[in-house]
Amino acid sequence: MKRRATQPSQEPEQDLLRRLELAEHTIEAIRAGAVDAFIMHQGEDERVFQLETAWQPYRALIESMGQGALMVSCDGTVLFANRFFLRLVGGTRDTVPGTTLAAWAAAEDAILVDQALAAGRDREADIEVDLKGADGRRVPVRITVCPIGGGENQPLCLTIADLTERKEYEALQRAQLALRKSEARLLEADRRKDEFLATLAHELRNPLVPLRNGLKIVEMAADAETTRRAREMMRRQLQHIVRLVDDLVDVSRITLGKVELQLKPVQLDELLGGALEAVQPLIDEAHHQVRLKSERPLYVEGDAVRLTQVFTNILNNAARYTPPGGRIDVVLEQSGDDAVVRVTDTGRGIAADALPRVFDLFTRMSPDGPETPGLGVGLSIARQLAGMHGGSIEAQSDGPGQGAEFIVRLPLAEPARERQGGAPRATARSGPPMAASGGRHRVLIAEDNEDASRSMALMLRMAGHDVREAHDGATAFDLAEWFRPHLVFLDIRMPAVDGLEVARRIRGKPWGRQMRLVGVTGWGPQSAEAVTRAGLDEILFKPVEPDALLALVKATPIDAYPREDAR
Amino acid sequence: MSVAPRLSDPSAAEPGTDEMWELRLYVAGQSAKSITAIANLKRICEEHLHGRYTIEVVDLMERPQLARGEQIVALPTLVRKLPVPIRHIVGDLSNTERALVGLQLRPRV
Repeated sequence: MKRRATQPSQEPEQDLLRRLELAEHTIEAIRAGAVDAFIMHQGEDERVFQLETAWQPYRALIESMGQGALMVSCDGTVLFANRFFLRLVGGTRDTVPGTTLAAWAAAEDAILVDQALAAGRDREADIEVDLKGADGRRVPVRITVCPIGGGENQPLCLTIADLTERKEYEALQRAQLALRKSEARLLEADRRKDEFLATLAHELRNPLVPLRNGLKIVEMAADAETTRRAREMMRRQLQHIVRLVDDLVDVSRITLGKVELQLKPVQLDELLGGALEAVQPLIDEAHHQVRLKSERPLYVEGDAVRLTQVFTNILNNAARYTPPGGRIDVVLEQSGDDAVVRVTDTGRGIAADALPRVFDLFTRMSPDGPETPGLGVGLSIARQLAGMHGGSIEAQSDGPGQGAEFIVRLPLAEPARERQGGAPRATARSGPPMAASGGRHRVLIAEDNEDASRSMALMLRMAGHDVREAHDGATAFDLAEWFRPHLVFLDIRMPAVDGLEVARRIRGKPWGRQMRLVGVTGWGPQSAEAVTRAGLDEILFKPVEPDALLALVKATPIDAYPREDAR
Repeated sequence: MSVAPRLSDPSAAEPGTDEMWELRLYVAGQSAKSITAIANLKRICEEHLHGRYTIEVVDLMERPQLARGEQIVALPTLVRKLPVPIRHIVGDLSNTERALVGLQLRPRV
């Protein structure tokens, strides 16, 4: 069909009718609310004007969406903020529009907001900042600025995404990672502990061999010389086991933080001399040459026993890991506020990759020659003790075969307090003077381990003393009351009533005030305070050196307590 | 083939069933009624003019000058260009019956 022109038809009436019809139809449509925009002439141009209702669905969308939406004027004033944003910052339609956006950002982020608004005129800009709500809470958000064109004075559209969940997720991830690292470390520590236990078993069993054999030899031997040699060997092995156990206990206690230092001014060069003496047997055996050099006396505030242990351990190491005929140099000097001791050896040296692990617990060098005895704890103990004194130990080596140097730094004691150093560990209480008084003593042994008790008692009886045994605390107290011993050996760790409790009870009685009470423990020194509070005169460590035991009894005054009122 | 137009009243001519309909919908951007009109128009055309229509959507917000000479006042307005005569239907076409009557797809009652 031919296309008709869109001109009004030739019949003006028809045309008029049509136009009227259209006009009526248009008015009807307007009244019916079926339109939401008008097009009008503005001078030469046509322009479209929309009714407010035109944007209702979009407004609803903007108000209900799960992101913040803002309209911001070119000077940063908020013109419109949707419900999400208002909720985010704890604001209302009255408190947010009209303010600047930067005012809702955390103080340090305000400048970033302004920068983003400036950049957002030309291209989309994205920043992550913290908003600061009306109640002061901080919300991490991402602000996206969208230019809508139209020139300098057009407002900007912003969307605000709440990053709280994402940040929480990231924090969780980090926590998980930390946990995994922690787990790895724990597994590694566990593995090292297992290795250590295997080493320990091995190390403890070795001296047991000659001990067991030695006993047999003594049983079988006919002549005194063989017996004597066997006894010597067993004594040595016993010493060795005692040392191993000491090391083990030390490591445990230091790690658990149960070691207390008795700090006094200590003269380092004297102390070093003492440490060298302790290691002398090892040095002589290996025919090492040792030189001790110190320019002058230097004092540090320290625990003499523990500091000696530090240097003994280092020197032991030097002696053991240097082939026979080597050299060990010990140099003491001052460096700034520290005393510095350098122990240099011409020994096996330490490989670069092993250097950082040299102070680790249970690490030992792989054996070259015969396996070096020990648990691999000496250097670790030394470092921890040095640290407890406010100092440090460093190991240096040029590599395998190039020897090694251990550098100990300790803060110098204030010169005004320089005095004679190296005081021995104080005893808890001064009792009656220990005059040598030979003769038959009454001794009470309180020890729950029957073999330990029996062997101690037998030894003391063989030395001529009157000995009674108690295997628990309550019995010990009763025995002390009627037996009235001159000396009581109290095992500290007994079930129910322990050694300290027995001591307290005894001291609470008039007959017990002057009784000599000696605590015996396998764990470690109780604090001086605990010892004093319980009323013990002294503490000894198991296994007590038998000669020391006998000497102690011998030296206890007999007439301090006559037994007239007892059975 | 087509129904012969009534010569006495061209504006009352009934459109035939074979001819191609050309429809032009004038809208105001994405206003609520505009998008409603687009949706309604598509539906009506599919139902009643399947396969024989074209729809052109003219956004007067973008190019207002296209309204010139078209006797358009309110938006949205649907203009049937073909078949002649030109018909205007103003509004969002939600009232389907009235829209069909306006398009002359239904007789006026």
